[in-house]
Amino acid sequence: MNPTLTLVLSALALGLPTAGFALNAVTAGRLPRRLVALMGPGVVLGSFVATLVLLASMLMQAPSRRGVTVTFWNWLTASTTAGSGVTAHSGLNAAFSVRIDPLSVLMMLVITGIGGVIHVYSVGYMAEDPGFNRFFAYMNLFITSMLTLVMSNTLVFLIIGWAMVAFASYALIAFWYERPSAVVAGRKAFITQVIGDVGLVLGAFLIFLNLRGPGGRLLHTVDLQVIFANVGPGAHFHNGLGPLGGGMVTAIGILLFLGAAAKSAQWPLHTWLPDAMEGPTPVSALIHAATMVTAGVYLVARFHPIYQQAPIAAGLVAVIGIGTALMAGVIGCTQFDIKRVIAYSTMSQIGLMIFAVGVGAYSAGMFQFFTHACFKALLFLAAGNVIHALHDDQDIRSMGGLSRRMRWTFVSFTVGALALAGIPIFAGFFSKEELLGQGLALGPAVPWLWVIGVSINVLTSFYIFRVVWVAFFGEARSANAEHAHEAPPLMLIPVVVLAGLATVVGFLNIDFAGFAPVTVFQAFLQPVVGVPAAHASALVDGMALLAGVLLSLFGVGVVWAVYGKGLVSREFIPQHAPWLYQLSFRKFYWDEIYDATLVRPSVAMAVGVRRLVEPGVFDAAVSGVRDAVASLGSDLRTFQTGFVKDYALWFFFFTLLGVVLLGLRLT
Amino acid sequence: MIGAQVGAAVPWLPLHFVPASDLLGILPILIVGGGAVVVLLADLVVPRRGGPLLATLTGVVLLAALGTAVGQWAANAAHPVVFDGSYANDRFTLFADFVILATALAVVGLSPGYLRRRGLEEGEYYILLLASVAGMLVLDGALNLIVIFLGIELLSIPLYVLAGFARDDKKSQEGAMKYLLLGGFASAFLLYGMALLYGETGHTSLTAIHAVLLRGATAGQFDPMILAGIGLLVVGLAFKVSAAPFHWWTPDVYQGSPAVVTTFMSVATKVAAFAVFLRLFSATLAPYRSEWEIPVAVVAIISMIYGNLVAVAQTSVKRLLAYSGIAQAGYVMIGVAVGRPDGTQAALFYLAAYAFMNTGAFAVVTLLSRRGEDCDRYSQLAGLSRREPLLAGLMALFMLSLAGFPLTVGFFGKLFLFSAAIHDGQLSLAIWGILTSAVSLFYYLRVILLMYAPGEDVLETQEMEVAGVSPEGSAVAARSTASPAVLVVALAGFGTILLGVFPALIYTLLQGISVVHG
Repeated sequence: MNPTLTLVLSALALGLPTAGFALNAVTAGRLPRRLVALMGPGVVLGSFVATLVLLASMLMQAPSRRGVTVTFWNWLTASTTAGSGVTAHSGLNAAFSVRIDPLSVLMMLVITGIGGVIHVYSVGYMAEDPGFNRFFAYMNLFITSMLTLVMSNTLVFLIIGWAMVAFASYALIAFWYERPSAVVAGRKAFITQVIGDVGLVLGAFLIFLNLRGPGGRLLHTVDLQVIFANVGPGAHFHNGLGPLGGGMVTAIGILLFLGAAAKSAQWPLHTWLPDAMEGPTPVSALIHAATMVTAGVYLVARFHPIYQQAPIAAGLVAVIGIGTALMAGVIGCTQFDIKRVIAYSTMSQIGLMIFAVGVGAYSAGMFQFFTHACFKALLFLAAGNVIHALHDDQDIRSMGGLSRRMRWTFVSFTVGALALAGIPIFAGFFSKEELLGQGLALGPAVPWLWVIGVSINVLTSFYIFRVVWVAFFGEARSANAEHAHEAPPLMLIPVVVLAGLATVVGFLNIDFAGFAPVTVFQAFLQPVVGVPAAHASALVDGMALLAGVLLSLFGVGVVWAVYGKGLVSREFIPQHAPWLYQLSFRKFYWDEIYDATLVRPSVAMAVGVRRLVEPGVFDAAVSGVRDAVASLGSDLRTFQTGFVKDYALWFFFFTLLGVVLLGLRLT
Repeated sequence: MIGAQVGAAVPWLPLHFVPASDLLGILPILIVGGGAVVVLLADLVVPRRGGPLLATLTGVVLLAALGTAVGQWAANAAHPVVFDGSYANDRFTLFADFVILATALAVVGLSPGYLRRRGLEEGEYYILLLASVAGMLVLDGALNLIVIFLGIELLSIPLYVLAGFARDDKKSQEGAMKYLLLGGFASAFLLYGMALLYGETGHTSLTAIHAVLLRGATAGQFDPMILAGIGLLVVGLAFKVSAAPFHWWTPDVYQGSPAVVTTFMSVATKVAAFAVFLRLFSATLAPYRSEWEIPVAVVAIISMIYGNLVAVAQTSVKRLLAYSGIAQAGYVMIGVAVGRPDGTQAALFYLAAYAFMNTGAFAVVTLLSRRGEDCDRYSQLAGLSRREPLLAGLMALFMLSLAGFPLTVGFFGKLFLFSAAIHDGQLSLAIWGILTSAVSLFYYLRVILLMYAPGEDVLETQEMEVAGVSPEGSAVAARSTASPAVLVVALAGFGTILLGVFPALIYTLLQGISVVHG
């Protein structure tokens, strides 16, 4: 790829949303709304176009030449120069450089493409909101942050992007800052993110400190390509991170995953995601479906050379992913808030992706990310239409009968549900089939993890079709639902576009030229992540596929039996296994557990410190130092008498003192 | 060689007398010196109140010198040492030239409006300024004790006059007199130190002195007379850079002098004096490093502590900046004490950074001046953010940069100095530097607080009414007459942020600069 062209395009892709944010932020809401309504989505779509050109110029290259690193500027050069007789410490050289390769371009496509559609939708959704300009400032900032995260070629800017994403999501979740619940949710999300940040930063720091290059020399580098070249297979054995599966590399893998878990809402850092539904619905679609929550998947895929050296950490990633997927699936079955159901569904699907990248099926995980971004954004935006029509009522129990009043939204939502459930021809079918098939071939505890993974299909199709049935069929159960109207075109067109995408993007993966078993995505991502270590045989693959589809259909069948025909009472589980129902309904009690073990003790400690320790110790110390400095300053000031004779005397005195000391030293 | 060629082409030029290559080597000095003469002549013919015209002429002269220096840097001359090894026109010199000339340009930009407001419009101002700049340019490349002394006196004598330029202002007269007396006193120390050095080594050339010292040091012999000479040099130079405990003149002179002169004095003089400080100590006297390392480090530490502590007790911005300048001199002396290329580079970076942030801070004070006096008391700053939001914002920026906040150039200046000290194993210097930086936040942030804290306007208005000046009188008047001055402040602010984000812009220039004798 032409470096200059790449530099210009990636600068455009990154610069446009940044400019949009800056313009909105600097003018502080004084820009006319119509301009913002054009500019907000415009900069993101412009960024999308730049990304498409990048993709096109990349596809024209041979696969081995599709990775380019371009440097915008050298931000910090702290290494000391060699050759001055000093041992050259290789210091921190942090360049703001971006890596353009299939993995980052795929992420950029989704961030700017799906993000752009969501921006267009937001123009309609937020039309009445007084904070219109502020909203688009935050949204553009979020896109910038996310792009920084996925494009960065150094640990430093990866961390900066990572933290900026956390801030932007905080600002967006707590967008309606008059609502106490939104502020609390934003705070919860941010604190969780910071816990993850600590993990990421520590992991990055351990890499920086310990990584050795050829000859055992400490590299002290933050350049991702240099890092991967020195930990990947075939690299020098003494890479400083310890032998295969050694303690250091395992620790790094786990610390990095702590960051990934916070972003991707994986256990144990998952509780922020459902609460984050307090934000405006486009925010949920942008942050909690399409982009931010997949940052963890990206991180593990990007750092796969490290995880390949750390089988224990990778196994942990896979187990946590599948566990979270199962748990979130169970919770999703009993929730009544339409957005929360979709949020738990997101958590569950991300869990599957994390499982995939944990077992080494990177391209399958990234493909699932790609299709998921389409159909999950679709589900959120369609749900947003429903919520908008019902005047911000999100409870499915007060909906009903919406299929007649909101036909397009209903069709779109159903397409999203079909895709999510993995029903053939819809996008989710292809990605989930590949994910589970590869998981079967690669998993550490095969076939048990796979069995769990495939059983989640039942839960997935159950909870999403439960929403479809309860919300869209039957009779209207509230006045709002009776008077619901279809959404305006600005909010409907993006939904329909996404519905189209959710129907067809799965086919992208079929290589019609026929190079099975390597699929299109595998081939595309191969220069970055390589090919999976093992393939399931065609027979096993076929069986797995069949089992997955059958289980999904079974879930739909259960919904039909329970909610459609009433063959089974809705109270069946609550009556026969109340503990299971309560466990699911109360979200496995994680909020209560964290509240009791972490939140309350922390708050109590903080109050105690504020009441007792701070006034007596810190305030006293600080004001003591301040007073001492001030009085010392005033005392010393008296030497400045203003008389030349005094000055000359002092001058002479200190010189004499120096001479005396010199004399003492010489004798 | 070039001289011979030119001489052959233009036979009537007296180039057999001074080779052209020598003249080329001091071309910036020639331009500034010649410019002073031109301005002197121009002053005779332009009508009275011709301040802006003279300022423009002075600016052109300085720009020409700056352009020449940049051209010489780009050309990377092969023979940087001229006049039989008594002047070095190397990259070290040129970098110092850049900073000095840029600062002088900024001062010239500030001057016309300021001088008019204070009623000091005299053509001599620009001539003295150029003469002093010429002295600084001589000083920063001097490779001979005599040239060093020549440079120091050439830069100082015009400054004595400039400090007392406000003839009706008693404070200005007092400051000038103190500066003259103490300056003479310090020159005596410096000269005595040079005499001892010459007496023991028999040379005035720094290169030759270095060779003699190296022989002695290799043999393990440290001559006490040379040590005494070095000690006296430290005293004399510490006076020039206003490092404690030889700083006594600084607060009184800074406060008394007209604000534009203070701006010039606080930045350009310091850069020139530190240039010779760095050249002497990290090159010429390097063999004796084990002996002078501790005294220099002690002066650095005393300066950091004293300057920062006493600054806390000030109530005038000019005095505050004087003490802050004493503290900053201590920071730069860390670079001297470390010696070696990384110390020198860090010191040069800090001086460049200092030129931006300190010129900016003083320039704001300049812009606030009113008829007949400088507005530098704290009470006069109160509520500035509402009267002059732009100036207050920039002043806040300069304060943050002086305190060493990240994303300003001051942060990287301190970072490079401290890391150089740590790499050298002089941990105590870095620790004192960091501790005193924390103290400095106290007074820098107080200035910001004063400007931004609500409810202080009343006092200001009353005070002004008593003085018979309308509250709007100062800076609004300034704005109408001082657009170049506003440009200077804005550029300083821009540079402070730009270099805080891209420190590499300057740092890469410095890579590879080390002080050597030709």
